[in-house]
Amino acid sequence: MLSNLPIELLSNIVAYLPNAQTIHHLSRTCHALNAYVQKEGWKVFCRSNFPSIYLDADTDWQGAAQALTAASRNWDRRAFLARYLEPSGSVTDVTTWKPIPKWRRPRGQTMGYRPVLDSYEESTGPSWSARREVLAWSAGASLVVRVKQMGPEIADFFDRSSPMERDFYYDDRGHMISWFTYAPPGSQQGRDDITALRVLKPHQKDPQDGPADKFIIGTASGNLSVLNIDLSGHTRKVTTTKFETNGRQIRSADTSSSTSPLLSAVLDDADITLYRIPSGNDTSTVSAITDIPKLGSGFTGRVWTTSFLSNTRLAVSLGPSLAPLRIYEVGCDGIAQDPLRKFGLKDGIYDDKVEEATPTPRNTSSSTVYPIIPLPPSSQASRAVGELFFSGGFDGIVRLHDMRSPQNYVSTYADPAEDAAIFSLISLGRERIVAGNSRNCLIKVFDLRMAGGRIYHYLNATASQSETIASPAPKHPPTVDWNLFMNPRNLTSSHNTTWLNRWTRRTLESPVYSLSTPSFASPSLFAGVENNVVQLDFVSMLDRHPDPVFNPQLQHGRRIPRYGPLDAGRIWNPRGQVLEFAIERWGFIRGNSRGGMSGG
Amino acid sequence: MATDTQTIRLTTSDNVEMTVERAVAERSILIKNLLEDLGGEQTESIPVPNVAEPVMKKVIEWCEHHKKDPPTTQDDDSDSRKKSTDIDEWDQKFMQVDQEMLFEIILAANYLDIKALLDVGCKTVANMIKGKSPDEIRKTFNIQNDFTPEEEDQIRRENEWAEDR
Repeated sequence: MLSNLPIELLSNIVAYLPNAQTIHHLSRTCHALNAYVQKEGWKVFCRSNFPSIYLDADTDWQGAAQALTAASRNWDRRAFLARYLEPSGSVTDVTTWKPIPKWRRPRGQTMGYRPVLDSYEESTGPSWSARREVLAWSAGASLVVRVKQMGPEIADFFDRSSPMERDFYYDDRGHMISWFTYAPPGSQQGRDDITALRVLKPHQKDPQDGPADKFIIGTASGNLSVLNIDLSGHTRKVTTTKFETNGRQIRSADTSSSTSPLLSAVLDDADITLYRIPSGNDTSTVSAITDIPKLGSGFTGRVWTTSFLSNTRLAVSLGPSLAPLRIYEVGCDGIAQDPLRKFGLKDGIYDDKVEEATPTPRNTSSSTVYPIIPLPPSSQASRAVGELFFSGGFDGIVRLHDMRSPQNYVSTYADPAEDAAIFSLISLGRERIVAGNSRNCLIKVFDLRMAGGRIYHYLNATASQSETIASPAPKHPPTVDWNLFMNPRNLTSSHNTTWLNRWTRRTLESPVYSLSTPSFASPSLFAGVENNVVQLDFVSMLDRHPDPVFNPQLQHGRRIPRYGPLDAGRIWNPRGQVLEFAIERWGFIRGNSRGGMSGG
Repeated sequence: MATDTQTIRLTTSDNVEMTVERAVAERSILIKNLLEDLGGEQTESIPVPNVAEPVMKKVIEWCEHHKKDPPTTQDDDSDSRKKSTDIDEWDQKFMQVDQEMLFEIILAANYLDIKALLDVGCKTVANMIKGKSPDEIRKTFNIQNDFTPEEEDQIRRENEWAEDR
């Protein structure tokens, strides 16, 4: 009966299976169930166990299941490899399209550069590992772009390459790496430093753009523009479209995820502007659809960031203010002059009249918010887009806000020891949130999974496996939040890369300015600290079956032996670049109830 | 409150007529919509051509017990959905039937559009699969192994990664 149930009923059952092992065992019973698992089963497993991680319908679902379960376990076990990123090997200056033999970071400033990061990845073939990842960051006045290509085709190229070619064009995972740099003509370090950066995602590319990528950069000297750069190098062209700023300094910028994207920017201290991003190679200057100087009310504090919660809602962070978080309605015809809603940071409900009756500036509820990010929907079917979002505050607390609740916030995430300001935030689906601290190169990882919720946890798999052990499976695996200090303990070792020479005390105590991940399904997380970018790959060195992107050959047992001892160092750290960081874990601490999470 | 005890008649696939309280039968969205479409007092017996009497009896028993449950919403929010182990005690007992009946109930719940019953049935089957080896699954569900040893080995190797997660 099981093997001849209609497919949709079988899927209904499979949606309740908590681990990959059970799906695999089901496929091993007979032809009919194996055919079902290959066709539908892995997809149902991914969608029901990782509902907030959106993947296209034509994904290699078996590869996805392997990758998502591996990444989830590695995050839970805090297993990762960290490296500093720096252009090397194939580096091209796209202003001249000439190779750069040796890249040097910007010099002549008293402080190191503050990287702003953005990234994306796209699928380039039928297998899970076939993908292309684009990472961009600002290094002073220059833009640095890394393109990483992975998959079976690249692995074939790699196998046919000489050792010299491998060193030059590939990283130690056998992924093809090309670097690009760009600096606007006549720009000077310091004066023209890039302070805002966004990369448009593949779904936002216009067919008439061709293969070009669109980078939006904003500088301290008031230049806000889109760069169309064809990273394939075929056309060897860079075109620039400027946005009208009237010389105001760009503090930050965000883009909506719509297919005809909008650009919001914070100019000077508190001016908010909105632009339409032109498609194609139109190079005429774009003027703002809306320009709200001083927040429209002579606001004297600073506006820090704008963040699109959805295509119709823009969140604005500012401070010091009694209402440092404001939500505006936005559309292709502009931003509403008055906010839809104001949020305070106090426990309770924000009310303009009550707050304004308390004399400022001594009002203790006056505070500042820096980063804001939307909480991704719980599934593709969710209708509550743009209702839930996180903020990171001057007080070091990450708050979850809900537009449908009258309360200022519905949940808080904080670390018991470190209360410095939060400078950056990123969510990894609804699995985790990572916050960048304003000092000590520190990131904080908070687990968002609800105890008892229908969400994957690797302990569910290992528990069902060992039925001979009498102890029952832990019903609610423990939630562990943790801190990672990204200042290497092994700097004195034999590292021969240039960043060692540039190492300074400042770098070790740096804020984490920016965080980015190419997609929720990616095992990589990037963090920007003073003068450096850190890549964290969530892999376990002893895992014989890691995310297929780490090496397609692993599948065929060519790189990692199926049995016998593993030489983890040779496999995972052949070039000796892996950094040693300190971790501090501090268990489960939560403010307020977590009931707010169930809504979206 | 005459409507509270209003009854309707159902004719099952094996031609048995059953009298059921309307509120109970309306746990089935199929029947509920049908009654709404017909309007007014329903005197004719409603044919249920896909469900036989013994299964219909079990389904009605479940609907009786869950008569007062709040109606299920269409909002399919996966965060709030419960883990497969969470089946309430009465439902667990209710589902202790032979396998043929279990699958009949699932098919009937699907046909009659009783989402909560369908979920309980699917969770029960999921619990029977969970943590078992391929051989144990075959035994449990009386599945014939139609693989050659080579095929079986190939499938095992291909997804070896799944064994520890």
